[in-house]
Amino acid sequence: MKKIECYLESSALWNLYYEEEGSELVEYCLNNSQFKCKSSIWSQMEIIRGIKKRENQEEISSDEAEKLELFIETDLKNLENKKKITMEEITNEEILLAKRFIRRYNLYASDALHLATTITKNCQVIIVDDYHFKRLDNTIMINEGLLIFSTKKTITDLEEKMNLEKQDG
Amino acid sequence: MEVASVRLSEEEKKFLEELVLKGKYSSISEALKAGIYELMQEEKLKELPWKSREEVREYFSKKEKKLKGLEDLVDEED
Repeated sequence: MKKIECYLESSALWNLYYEEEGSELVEYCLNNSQFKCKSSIWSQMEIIRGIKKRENQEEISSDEAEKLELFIETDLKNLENKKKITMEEITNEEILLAKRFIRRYNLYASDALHLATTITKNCQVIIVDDYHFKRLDNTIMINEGLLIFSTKKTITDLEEKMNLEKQDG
Repeated sequence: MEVASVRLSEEEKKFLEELVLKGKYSSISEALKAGIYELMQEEKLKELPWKSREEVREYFSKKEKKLKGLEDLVDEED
């Protein structure tokens, strides 16, 4: 059976390490053999920025920030070694497509880059948190033939949606 | 930067030279530094208070959250 190729946007990866809410769905995708998960080096950059923001706001200490960054870096490497995720490089192809998406959908550069990577890496689903879910609306889903799925939804929702997709296809 | 002399066996020296020949590192010194960096990371990992993602999430869930989600303060791009 062909695997469902799934892009974990940076906010989804963030849920995996920092937020209880949403982590269950991301863990499910990583550990379900029906899925082939991908993300990108750009997601890692955004996560490092997310950690730094929390350090700046004194939500976490410098020591905790350093340890969290190290843990995430190591864990992602382990997940790659176990073939549970592929951290994709960002190339000119993604940048050119992202430029088009910024103009076409009025997206932030970062979101456009994630969307472009999702498409160039042949993913059928992009997993994001609610905030991004609202910004990447139905127009993109229809135009780009992509399922945008929120980490705030349940595993059952995802399973049902995937079954529906199979039936439609 | 400090200079340190290191005694290497023939095998170790050959291994490092091969890495340089393959273009992985620009010099034996650079290859050694990369090895030391890995060792430092390994030692730091041993000191981490968490062994799993669950433990990390549990640890940070107890924090008083000042920011919501990864992209809070997203207006920095605007």
